[in-house]
Amino acid sequence: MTTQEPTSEHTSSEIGIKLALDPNLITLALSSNPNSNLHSPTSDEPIPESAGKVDVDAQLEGDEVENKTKKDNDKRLKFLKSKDSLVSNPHEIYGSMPLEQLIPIILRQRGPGFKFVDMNEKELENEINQRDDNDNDICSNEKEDTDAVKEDAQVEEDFMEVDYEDKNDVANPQNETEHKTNESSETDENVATVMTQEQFVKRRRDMVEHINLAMNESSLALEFVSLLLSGVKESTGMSSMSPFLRKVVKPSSLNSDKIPYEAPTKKEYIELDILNKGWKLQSLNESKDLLRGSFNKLSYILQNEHDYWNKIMQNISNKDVIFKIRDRSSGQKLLAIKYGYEDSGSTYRHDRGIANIKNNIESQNLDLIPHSSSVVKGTDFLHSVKKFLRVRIFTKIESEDDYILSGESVMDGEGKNGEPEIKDIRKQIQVLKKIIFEKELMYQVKKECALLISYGVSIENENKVIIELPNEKFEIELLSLDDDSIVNHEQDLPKINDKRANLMLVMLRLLLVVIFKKALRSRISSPHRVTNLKVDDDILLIRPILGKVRFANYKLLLKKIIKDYVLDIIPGSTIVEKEVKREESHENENIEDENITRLNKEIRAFDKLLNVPKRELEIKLPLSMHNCPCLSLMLESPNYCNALIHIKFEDNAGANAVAFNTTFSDFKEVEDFLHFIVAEFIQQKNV
Amino acid sequence: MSNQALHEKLEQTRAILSVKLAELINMTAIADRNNDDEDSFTQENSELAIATTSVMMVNNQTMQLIKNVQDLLSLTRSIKEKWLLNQIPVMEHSEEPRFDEERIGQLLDNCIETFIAEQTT
Repeated sequence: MTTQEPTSEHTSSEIGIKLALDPNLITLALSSNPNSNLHSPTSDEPIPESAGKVDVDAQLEGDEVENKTKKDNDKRLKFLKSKDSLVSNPHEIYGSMPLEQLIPIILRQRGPGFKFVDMNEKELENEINQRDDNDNDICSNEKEDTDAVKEDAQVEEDFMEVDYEDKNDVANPQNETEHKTNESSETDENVATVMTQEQFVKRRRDMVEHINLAMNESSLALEFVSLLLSGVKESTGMSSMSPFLRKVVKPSSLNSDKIPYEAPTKKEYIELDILNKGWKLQSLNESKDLLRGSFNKLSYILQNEHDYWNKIMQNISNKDVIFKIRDRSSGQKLLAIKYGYEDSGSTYRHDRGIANIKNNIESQNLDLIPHSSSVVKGTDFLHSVKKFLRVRIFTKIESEDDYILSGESVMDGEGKNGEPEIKDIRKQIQVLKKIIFEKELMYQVKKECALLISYGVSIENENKVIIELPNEKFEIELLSLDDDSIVNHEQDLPKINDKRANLMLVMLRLLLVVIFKKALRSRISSPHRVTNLKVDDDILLIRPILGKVRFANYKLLLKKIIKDYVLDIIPGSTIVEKEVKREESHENENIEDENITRLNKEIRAFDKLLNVPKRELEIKLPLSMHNCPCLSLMLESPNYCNALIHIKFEDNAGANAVAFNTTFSDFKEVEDFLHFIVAEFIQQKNV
Repeated sequence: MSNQALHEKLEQTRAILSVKLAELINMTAIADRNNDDEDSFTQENSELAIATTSVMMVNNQTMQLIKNVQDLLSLTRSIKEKWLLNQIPVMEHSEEPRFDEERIGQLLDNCIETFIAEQTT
């Protein structure tokens, strides 16, 4: 270090520069100086000593002891001290040392004959006072030393010198006072002794803090100046820059210039003021426009919202199934309503019957947009999508082997009468419900058809089913409203079979309702959700109707056979037609549930339609005959379309009683059997 | 959104709205106050700053005001949706429609007969 000189070595070992704080804080930057290695650092040696001394008075005894040790053992200190550092902190060396080691050192320093027990505060105080006197004596010596130092220092670099002086000034004000007078140093000490330890520690901490702060500030300032300097003289600037700054900031990236400040005149000020106000006015105007614009927009939206919700409130009751949905195309959040029959037992999955509720601003109405018809835009969708079932009856012309249209079901009211604008959302829902119902009806009819090919039922195309009977033909067709055959034949004259066609359509619809009810019942009563109806058992649409017709035909045929083979042969005999008592189905009867009971009741009401046809024909033979034998035929169609004939014959009269109970499915065999019975058992008796 | 969250959001929006409105009014008040101390040359620099920032601030406040009103609108919408979607259907068992099985049976008989009649004759 610049201060080091061989001549000052032994004198300064006594006094040196006195630092009141941890000198290592300051030495950090200097420790790298190679000079300190060349010269022995003894001149700095006393510094910690004095620092320690200040400490000693206020600190713990342990510290005191430590300080004492080092005071009395300069040589040892010299040896122990790290050679690199300018000043060293004795506390650093001894502070961490355990007492077992420390005490022997003290003993050795004191010389032989000294006992640790003998050491006491008073003695130490005396010693300190003595030392202070010595210090003052040496003060003059030191001044000479510093002069010498200064001469030497000029050889060294400028800023290093600055550093050194800085250190002296900043770090050791106390030192200076000590230099000046004896007394002052003594008073200092007195003050110090009066201070409590906490106060001292606190003050020291404050000071350290302040110094750190100052160092920080000054290094910042240095960085700033260096950076500024690097613009003019790069190498100089760089050399004092910290590595961090050097790395992060480009040199010569900071510049400065001096601009003369001109105080604005009154005129200028007024102009500026006007400008300011102009800006403000403008911004306020802008804000006003903005607010007005958004107010208009929002109040428009609000009005629409209000209308929308009002309409919803009026039209949607809490019985409707409403839910939120996100429009797939626009990503808009919408409310949707479920109008389909899924909750009523429908199992139709091709159209779930969901429609978005949209507010039509132009027409001030709510629009329903069914999901199935997402392609069709606008309000026309109802018209174009509206589908309905039509039943047509064709009668066969025997002579020409061709059919003529003899009856057609009419379309329901509103579709034809056409209110192009369906105002009410309720009506829209009605229409949609109708459409989905018809679609499902067609769908189920087609499914059932697969079973009935052998009975003359065929699917002509996707939307058309034909049922053929010997002398007429039924056509069930799903049409859209704008179909040609409707548009062109609107004013057709009423035909003979129109009523039957309508009835057939009504029956089909009723049967679908029954299917719904049954599905609902099974859904309630069993935990397993029925997702698909079994065609065999569940879908009964065409079969009950077709069965009725076929059964009537069978009955006619059977009557004819009876007439030919019984009545004509046995005069006076008659046919009595009897209803067959059916056993009530007790399905689900035992389940005690209000809903199921109700459903059962409702389903039972339609038994007339659903019951498998069954008739008993009893042949009354002439009463004159004594012990008349009993002949009865039973006709039934277990799967609605076929025919089974049970023939019962009992003759208990006479010695040889005869009883037959047989079943036929062929009318030819029935003929033969009747013929046989009549010939063998009835006629013979008469004879 | 739960009821609680909705309520909190509503309250929050309301608070922000009133604060923003007050700030906006303050902003206009700055312009007025400057009229009074025209002579103070010292202020003029800071006033320039106020002028530029206040243009921005006024704009900003206005936008926030609008944004919050929009929020309010969407909030009311979700409240309404909540009201609509959380309704519990009322079961109306009392006025159960009269279900006359006899009559239905009769009608059906009639219907079937008419339907078959034509066919068989």
